[in-house]
Amino acid sequence: MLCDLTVPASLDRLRPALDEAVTACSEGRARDEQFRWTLRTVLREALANAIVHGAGADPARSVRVVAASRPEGVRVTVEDPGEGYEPEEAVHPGSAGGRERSRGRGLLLVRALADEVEIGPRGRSISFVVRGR
Amino acid sequence: MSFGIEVEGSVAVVVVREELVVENRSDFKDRVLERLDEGRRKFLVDFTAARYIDSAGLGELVSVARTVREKGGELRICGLGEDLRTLFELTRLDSLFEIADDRGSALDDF
Repeated sequence: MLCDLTVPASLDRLRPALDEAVTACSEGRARDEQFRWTLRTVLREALANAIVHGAGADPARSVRVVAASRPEGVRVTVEDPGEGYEPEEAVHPGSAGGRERSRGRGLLLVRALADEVEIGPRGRSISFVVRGR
Repeated sequence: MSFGIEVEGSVAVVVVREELVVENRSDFKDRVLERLDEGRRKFLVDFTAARYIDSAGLGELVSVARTVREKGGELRICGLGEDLRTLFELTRLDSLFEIADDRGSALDDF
């Protein structure tokens, strides 16, 4: 286990949680800038989505970040307490006519940058793997 | 302040000092819309000093650019480093915005 964080669902807690998780997950990979950048980018999207959309940015609620080292890389899971959604309902902002949408790019970035992505039932959790060099 | 505004002739240059992310995107929007209300119509968002933009920041850029366009103006971008350019390309926003390598060339052409 690299980290197991319970984070109050407040935007001002996003950066501290991100810093703590990325530092914990980068142990032994301090010089792998690409790994750190990819992990930070993907985790920021997952965490911001969980805080804002999953928990309604309500500090009384919390989201959880669990990370572990696996043979295939670092696997991170972010869980939120929200009502959930059907991932298929999300509109691809890169699709025809979708570029000018102001929302929906987070999952697109996660899928593009992470090596594996798994979305839990009703979108209440997301797991991803980031491989190092 | 996360953002600075520098006026270069007819262009309001919005300098992103560190990052444009979910935590500060409203501030970015407010800074641009203040200048839009003052009558500015040309905006250049300079990312030279920035190291990060997230999907919420990208969405805010799209939204603000649309508002500027509806008022008869234009919002362009310059100074994307390699990592930021990757994010624009992955979200296909590199084809939505006019993007210059640096501020000088952006202003020459605006």
